[in-house]
Amino acid sequence: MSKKQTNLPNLLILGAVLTLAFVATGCGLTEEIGKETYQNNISNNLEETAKTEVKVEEKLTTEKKENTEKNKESNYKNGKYDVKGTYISPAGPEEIKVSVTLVDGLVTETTVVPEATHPVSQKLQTAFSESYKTEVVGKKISDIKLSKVAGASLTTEGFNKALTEIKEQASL
Amino acid sequence: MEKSQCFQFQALGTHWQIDITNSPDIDTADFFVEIKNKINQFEKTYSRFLPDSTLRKIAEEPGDHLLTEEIGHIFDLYYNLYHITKGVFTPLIAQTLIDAGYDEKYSLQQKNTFQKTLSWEEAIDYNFPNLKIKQKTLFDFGAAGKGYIIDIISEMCRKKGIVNFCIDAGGDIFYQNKNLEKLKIGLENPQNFEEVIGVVEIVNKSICASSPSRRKWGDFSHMINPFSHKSPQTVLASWVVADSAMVADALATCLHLVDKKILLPYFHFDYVILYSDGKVEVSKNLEAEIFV
Repeated sequence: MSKKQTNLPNLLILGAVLTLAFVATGCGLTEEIGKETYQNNISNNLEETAKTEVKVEEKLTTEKKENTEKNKESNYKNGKYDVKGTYISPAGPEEIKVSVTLVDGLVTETTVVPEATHPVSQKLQTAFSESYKTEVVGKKISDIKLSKVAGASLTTEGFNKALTEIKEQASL
Repeated sequence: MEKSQCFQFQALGTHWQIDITNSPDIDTADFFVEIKNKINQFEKTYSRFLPDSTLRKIAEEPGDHLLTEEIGHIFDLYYNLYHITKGVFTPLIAQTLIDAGYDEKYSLQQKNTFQKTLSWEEAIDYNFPNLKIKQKTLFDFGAAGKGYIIDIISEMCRKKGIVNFCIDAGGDIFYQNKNLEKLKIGLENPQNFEEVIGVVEIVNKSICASSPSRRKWGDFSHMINPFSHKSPQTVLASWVVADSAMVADALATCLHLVDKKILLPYFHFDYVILYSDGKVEVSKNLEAEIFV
């Protein structure tokens, strides 16, 4: 994971970690197949990665002191921070690794790498999809007023030529 | 009266169209050259089809390498998705694609035997900015590369003060409009390119599509499962709407390989998924009309 700063992240990032941590515990993943292998792979990888372990509760107290002094300067450099947080969920201790991007003091992007050791609820997954039971039909593009069409990338002449050759060979 | 400029060209194996509306006082011809140059540079960095590309040379040389910030950004995404999908989405699919026939020469014929697709741990050790190559290998960034360059060009537009623009790279799109005017986008029917199966409206978002429809040969498409060495069959086409084209592009491919449930906890995105039995799933918050 990218690491541009060795400074400890500020309250903002920790806020993001906490929020994401709480969201992650409520998130929908019921799959347990291969979870153990997955967990081992994650922890093996992370052990080899240099990481900053942050105990969230301790961080909050120290940062509060530092922040009152640094209040005037919000000079947290733009960049990407990796935070590994430990928090106590209702199910027990959980670890979460978050990568946070700061631009002008605002968190613009976050990605979460899952490390949860407890299965998470399936509430979220069922809330997400709306299925169409009947089969879809196509409508002619010329019949509809469209600005754009999104589909598989148009291929180059070179690729199309190769496809045609293969089809011809296959039909011999 | 809106002044609109359009730039069309071929790059990265597909057809591009960039539309700029009401641009500030800039030399658009110059800017289009800048964009073209950036795309060339991008290709020379990431393409597995160019023998001297940066990532190809790195992958062929065991040892430690330092990555640029730009490379780190996409490598981070691949790292995350590799772990989220438990290795099904991997940049190391490159060798497998070649074994299936999707090589530099587009031979499109399966080689005699498939090599095992290397796991992340077998091939590399990644801790930005360090990338350690453990054994000679090859990377494919096809799943997210186009999305990434779309994001980069979007940023170039913004830096020039252009606030209304649309970047369309062969059907992967990023659209920005200061006045929040939506763009109506048809979802191409993968079984009939003259048709669409629905319409989506977006603004200040990217929509990327993924389908084997145009890149299919024998039993394969450009998407292959690294464990089964087979191309997935259940999903005919997927579309993802997200803030960044790189994420939309990557997730659209992921939806052919894994269930959306696996991705939902980690990314903000909307989707339309068309299955081989004709059924469609649309994420709840997406403004989409599906033709039934």
